[in-house]
This record gives sequence, C-alpha cells and structure tokens, in this order.
Amino acid sequence: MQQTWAIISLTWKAALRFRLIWVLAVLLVLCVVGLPLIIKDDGTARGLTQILMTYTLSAITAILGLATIWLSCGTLARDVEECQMQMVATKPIHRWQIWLGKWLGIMGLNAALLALAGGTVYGMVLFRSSKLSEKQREILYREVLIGRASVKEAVRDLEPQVEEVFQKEAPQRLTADEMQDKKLIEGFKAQIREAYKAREQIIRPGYMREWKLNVPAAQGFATNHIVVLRVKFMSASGGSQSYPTIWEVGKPESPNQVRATKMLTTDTFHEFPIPANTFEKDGTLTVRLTNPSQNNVPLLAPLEEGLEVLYRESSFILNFVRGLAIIFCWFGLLAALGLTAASFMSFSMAAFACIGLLIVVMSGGILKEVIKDRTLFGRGGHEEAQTEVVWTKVKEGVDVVMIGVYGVLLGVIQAVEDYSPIESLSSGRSITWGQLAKAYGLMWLLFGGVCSTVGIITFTRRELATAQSKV
Amino acid sequence: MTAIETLNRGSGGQPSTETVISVRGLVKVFKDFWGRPKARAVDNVSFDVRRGEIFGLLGPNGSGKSTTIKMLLGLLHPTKGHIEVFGKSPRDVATKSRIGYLPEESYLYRYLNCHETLDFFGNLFQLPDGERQKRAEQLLEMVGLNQTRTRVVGEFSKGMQRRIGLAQALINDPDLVILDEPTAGLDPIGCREVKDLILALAQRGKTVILSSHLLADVEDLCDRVVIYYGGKIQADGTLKELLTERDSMRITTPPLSQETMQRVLEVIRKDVAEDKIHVDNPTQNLESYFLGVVQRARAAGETSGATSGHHVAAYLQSGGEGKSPSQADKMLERLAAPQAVATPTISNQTAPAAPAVDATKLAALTQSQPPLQSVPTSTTELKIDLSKANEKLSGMLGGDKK
Ligand SMILES: Nc1ncnc2c1ncn2[C@@H]1O[C@H](COP(=O)(O)OP(=O)(O)O)[C@@H](O)[C@H]1O
Ligand SMILES: [Mg+2]
Repeated sequence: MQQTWAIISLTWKAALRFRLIWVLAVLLVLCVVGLPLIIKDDGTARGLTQILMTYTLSAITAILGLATIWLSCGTLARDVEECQMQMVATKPIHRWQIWLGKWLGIMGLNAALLALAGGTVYGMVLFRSSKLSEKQREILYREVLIGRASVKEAVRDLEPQVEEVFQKEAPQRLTADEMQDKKLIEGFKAQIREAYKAREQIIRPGYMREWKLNVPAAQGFATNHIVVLRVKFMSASGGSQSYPTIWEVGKPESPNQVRATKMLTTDTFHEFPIPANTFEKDGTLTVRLTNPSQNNVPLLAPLEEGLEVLYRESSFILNFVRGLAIIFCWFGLLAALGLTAASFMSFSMAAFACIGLLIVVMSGGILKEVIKDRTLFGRGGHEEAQTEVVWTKVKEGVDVVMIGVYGVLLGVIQAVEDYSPIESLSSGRSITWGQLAKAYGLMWLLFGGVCSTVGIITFTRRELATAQSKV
Repeated sequence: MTAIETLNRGSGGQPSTETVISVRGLVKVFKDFWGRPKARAVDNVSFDVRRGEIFGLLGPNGSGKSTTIKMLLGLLHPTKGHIEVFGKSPRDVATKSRIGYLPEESYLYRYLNCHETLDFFGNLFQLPDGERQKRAEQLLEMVGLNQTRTRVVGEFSKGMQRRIGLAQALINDPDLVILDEPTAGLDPIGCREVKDLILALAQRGKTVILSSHLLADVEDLCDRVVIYYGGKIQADGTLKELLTERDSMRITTPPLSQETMQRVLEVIRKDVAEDKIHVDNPTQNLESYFLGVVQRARAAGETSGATSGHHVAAYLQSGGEGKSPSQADKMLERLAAPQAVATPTISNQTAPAAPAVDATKLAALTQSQPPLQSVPTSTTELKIDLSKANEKLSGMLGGDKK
C-alpha cells in the first residue's frame, strides 16, 4: 500500500509540476463560465439547460476524457521511454502495483477536476436560473433541476394476436411450398405485427386512446408531489401543425379526475404537470387522449414514446452527483484503456490508438447500422453472375471477421448509449443507484477488468530496458 | 587506497564462498520489430559473484556490460542462459529489497527534488517514515547534496544527478549493490569519494558489482573482474592474477646515499644485465596530486556545485558483518575527515616518470627471483607498477575509445 501510494503521489506531483492540472482546471472553468457567455440563451428554461447542462457537460467530458487518455498513455509510456521505469521496477514493487498506482493517481486527478467543473456548473445553473422569469424558473425546477423517475405503459404483447391471424390467413394465402420457407413466414408475420401496431397507434377523429400506467411509488405521494405527463403525437397528414386535444387524467368518474383541452404541436414532446391525487390507491393512473372530431385527421400516438409519466424521485443535487459519478466511471475505463495501450506501445502510438478507438466508438451510429445489417457490403440481389461467386465468398469472409470485431465494439457503444448521464441530467431524469451500480459493474468490472488484466500482464512480462534514453 | 592494499584485501580471504549471483551461458540478442536479430549484445557469458567481493565488469563502450546488468535485474530477459540472484530468478520481486541499483545514466524524475526522490524510493522499499527521513538526510549529507535539497533534480548537473542516483541505490541498506559506471560524470573528488564508499561498503560485507570502462576505477576497487569485448568474456580472475608481472619487480625507498645505492646496484649487477635495470624517481599520479590541491583550496570556502561528501550514512556503518573491524573503522574515519584522504594517497600512489632514466640509477627493478617477503628493510615498500597494469589492460581492450 505504501508503495502504491508512492506511485499515486508521484503521478500527482508530475501533473502539478508540469502544470498540466492547472491548465486543465483553467480550461474547464473557462468552458463552464465562458460557453454560456458566448452562446446566448433565449431566456427560457429549456434554452438555459441546453447550454448550461448539455453543452458544458459535454465539453467537460470531452476535455477530461482526452486528458485522461493523454495522461494515462503518457504516465506509463514516458516513464518507460525515459527509463525512469528502470529505477522503479528494480525496487521490490510488483508491476501490477505500479500499474494500479498510476491508474489510481489519474483517477484522483480526474475526481478533483470533475468535482471542480461539476461544482462550477452547478453554481452557474443556480446563478443563471435566478435571472429567469418566474414562470420559466418554475419550469426549470419542475423539468430540469430534479431527479425524475419515468413510467411508461407496459408493452402489450401482440404475439398471440399475430399468431392467431397468421393461422387463420396463411392457409388461404400461401402455397404448401411457401409454408416451408421460414423467411417468408417471418415476413408475413412481421406484416401482421406492423398492422397491429399501426392500429394501436392510430386515434381517429372522434375517438379516444386510453393508457393505464402503474406507479407503485405513487402511494406515498403528497398532494403537491411533482408529477408530469410527457407526451408526443403525430398527425396522419404529416408535418408540424397544432391540433386541439382533450386530455383526461385520473380514474373516470372519480372526483379527482382532471380534464383539459390543449392546443399541441405534432412531432414534439410536451410536458405538463398533473395533480398527484389523480393516481388511484394502488398507484394506477388512467390517461385518456381524445382526438376531437373537428380535427378531421387521425392522430398517431407512437407506442414507444407516446406517453410517459415522470415524477420526482430525488433531488437534483443527488442526481447531478450520480450523473458525474457515471462520467467518472467512463474516465476510469479510458484510463485503463490508456494504460493498457501504454503497456506495450510507445506514447505516441498508444495515444493515437486510444483516440482512434474513441472516435470509432463515438461515431457508433454508422457502426450500429452495419451490424444490424450484418454486412459491410450490403445485401446483393440473388441474380449474381458466376464470376462474382468468388468475390462474394471474399466479402462474406471479411464480413464475418469485421462483424466479430464490431460485435465487441457494439457492446461498448451500447454502454455509451445506455450510460450517457448528460442526456438524463438535462431532461431532469433520475439516474438511479441501480443504473449507477450497473454502469460500474459493466464498465469497471467487465470492460475495465478485461482491459486492465491484459495491460497488467503485458506490462509484467515486458522488457523495460529496450528503449535507449534519448539524452 | 593503493593497488597493493586492494590486492592484499582481496587476498585476505574476505569474500566468502557463498554465491550471490550465478550466471551460466548467458546470451542476449536484441531483435528488431520483426524479430530479426539486430545485435548480439551478450554472448555466452558465465561467472559467479561471491558474497562480500567487489566484482568488476570491465570493457569498452558497447561491450555488453549494461546489458548483462539489466538482465541481472530482470529489466531484460535473457535470450538463453540461466541467472540466479540470491538463489532466485532475477524477476523475483522480494529479492529486490536486498539490491541497490545505480543505472548507467541518472534516470531520475526530473520534477522531484533530491529529498522527494529519496523519499519516493524509500517508500518503494517500504521503509517506515522516521527511518526513511533519517536515511535520506544522511545520504544527502554523504553525497554532498544537503545544500541543494529543494532544487528539482532536472536542474542538476550530470555529476550531481549521479550522486543522487548513488544515494537512492543505498537507501535500502542493500546486501548487493549493482553500480553501472558509478564514476561516470563525476569530478575527481567525487570519483575518489565514490570509490572509497564502495570500498567501505565491501568492508561491511556488502557485495558490489560495478561496471566500468575506466581502468583506474576497476583497478582501485575490484577483487575480481571479467573483461568484456564484443559481448564475450575475454579474461577473468582476481586482479592480482591478472596484473602481477611475474617477471619484474620494483623497490621503493627514501632517498639513499650515493654510496649505498652504488653498493645495492653492485649486488644486483651480479645477477642482472645492465640494460634490464631501470632506476627513476616515483611521481604522484594526477589523481592524487589533484586531490591534494583541492584539499588545500577547500579551506578557502563555498561552492555552488556539489560539495564533497562527508560521513558515510550511519545506518550503512552499523550493518557491518565485522570482517575486519579495525580496517573498516579506519576507512570510515577517512571518509569522515576528508582532508585525511589525500595524505595516504599522495604518499602511496606512485607511477614512474616516463623514460627519463636517472644516470645515477637510484632505484632498481630486479628480476622476479627474490620473493616479496624477502625484501630486506622495513622502510622499503613494494610497488606494483600501475602504468604497466594500465598498459596491459589497455592492450587487451584495444584502448577505451569508441
Ligand atoms: N535496446 C537495445 N536495442 C538494440 N541494441 C542494444 C540495445 N541495448 C544495447 N544494445 C547493443 O548491445 C551492445 C551492448 O550494449 P551495452 O550493454 O549498453 O554496452 P556497455 O558495455 O557500454 O554497457 C551494444 O552494441 C548496443 O548497441
Ligand atoms: Mg553501459
């Protein structure tokens, strides 16, 4: 422990004496204070959040993330290249202790810098919010500066219906041969499924759609507990227009039911508060949306994001800290990645490789498409010429390898999407302890564990004196 | 310390038979990125180092000394061959606590100051707080850097960095000290002090391995040497075995009267042909002369560079195995009182002035016949001709250029 601690404090001293940490600190504070000055917000709560939370937190993550990679590659690779490692590794300290000490040192710096930057963001939000209008400030505290849990309607299982229709229709529409074709059958079922989904979504003029949501936590709500409906719908005529909609929330015929007509625009999210006493005793909430007949156009409430209930679960500060903790979790993985790369590469190589990998993961959208399609080259038609058969085989070979590699990346990309706290923070959604634990479990224990095991083993077996000093 | 004293010490039966390091058939081939052999740095080297001896790796630049040392420390892995250090693999972490290592160059953290540097390495050895502080103080005092403790090591001159490197190699009170060219970059006083320190360590029962291309270093210090050239061992053995010229001898006396001299020569001429007899005045070598001058100048005052070191750190003194306490204490006394260093060195260290043969032939070198013990008077000292030794080694190594 004394030895590991010596390495940790050495890492800190290096960062302090090379003034790196001061440069970073100034950069971060400038970013948090300066960015909102350059980009004027529009005086609304949402505009303010967009800039203060989304932009600045993203900038902080980017700066610290790059710095983490740079530092972690540098602290190990430089020590090897400049031969100081020869002095350290000939002392009675295990190589894994050196490695771990470096990691802990970097994470200590990250913790300090993240706390500084996070504190400044928090301060800025409070400060700037005091300049908003009364109404906007209320929105801010209801929609952003809060940790809200989200509940959606349980997904209805369509499969029994799909199967039923298929059994009824298939014998009439498909030949015996076609009944053997699995692909064809799947396609047929998919069509039926889509038809059902469409029917679920559509609300014709003069009709009503009812949601039943279950929020067990609602049993403990006080009457002034913050509860918000978040809704989105489209119109069959497309485009972005406003329509009157009738909302009824609460058990029908109950005195607590509320009813309102709202002019809402299609294709955007709307949030409006509802009284906490609209929940029934067992936590059930009934929401009805009526498409008034004068609209003359069907409305579509998407299955996935049509309606959502958000309610206060924790304070903003707690949520904010948990959000930063997830960002910190990411840095831990980056630091392990950097150290691992530096365990067998030179500084420049290691930094280049890590940043390259980071870019690939960040641009994960394209990658995801590729993997979904299961091919790089796209699916060709069936009528390929003979000469193309060989080429097809090559393509298939490449595809198999690449998809394997991408498969691993996909896991990471999925994690990036699942654990992006900035989005949650700027929409006032709570990051639960469970999510936090999962993030650390996945990223530190699983990815980080594998990564650092590889790094430590390579570093332990490595010859440390092959580099000649360039003095 | 004179050559003769070194030899005597070496032959004094001090080194035990216990083997500290054993190297068998060691080969190191450096490969390039594609695994193609690039350089055969060490080629089939075998040797043993016994406890308590000062073992020298002598060889010109690039002959594979540092590569051998790095393999002893587990920094490089042998291509072939077997190494045992204290009976363990060189990669064993626990045995590292018994080893002190000074690399060929001062690979120090440039942003730490001397005190932090020693503190850092002390922590790696898991020394408790108080002990670490104490040793750091004493070591800085010993290597003469206690006045520059708050300056960062990056600003130091090469010699000053070397001193810190040496201090860090001793912070764990090691049983085995491995020094790669310990005197490189040091001023003559520093060299002398380092050499004396090495001798003091050996007196305390520590095993010392040092590499050097400087013949004088090796000659002054080592009990046994291996001589490297092109990665292979070209010669090995005790210095005495390697250097004694069995076919000549030399007698040194205070100035004799013309008459006595004539009589002595008379006797010698009976056995030896006139042209085989060589008479001259002994001269100091430059090292001892230089040291004398500096000692006198030191009274004059301060320097902004490294001061010369003083006391051997107390904890190093106490670790003695009590081989020959009286001699060891004498050594420490000398280190504690620097001005004492010069005197014995000047009076003892001699080298013949070039060819100028005094016509009166005041001294003579006889052929090997009379054994050492039979040198008649107590005022007559036997000297081994250092310049001859240098010539001989130089011959073997083909000079120490490159
Ligand atoms: N990391 C390395 N890569 C390639 N060649 C090396 C490396 N280290 C040393 N050598 C070569 O091995 C030989 C021995 O070097 P070294 O052991 O440093 O010599 P010295 O006796 O001066 O200490 C030299 O020819 C040197 O060029
Ligand atoms: Mg060398």
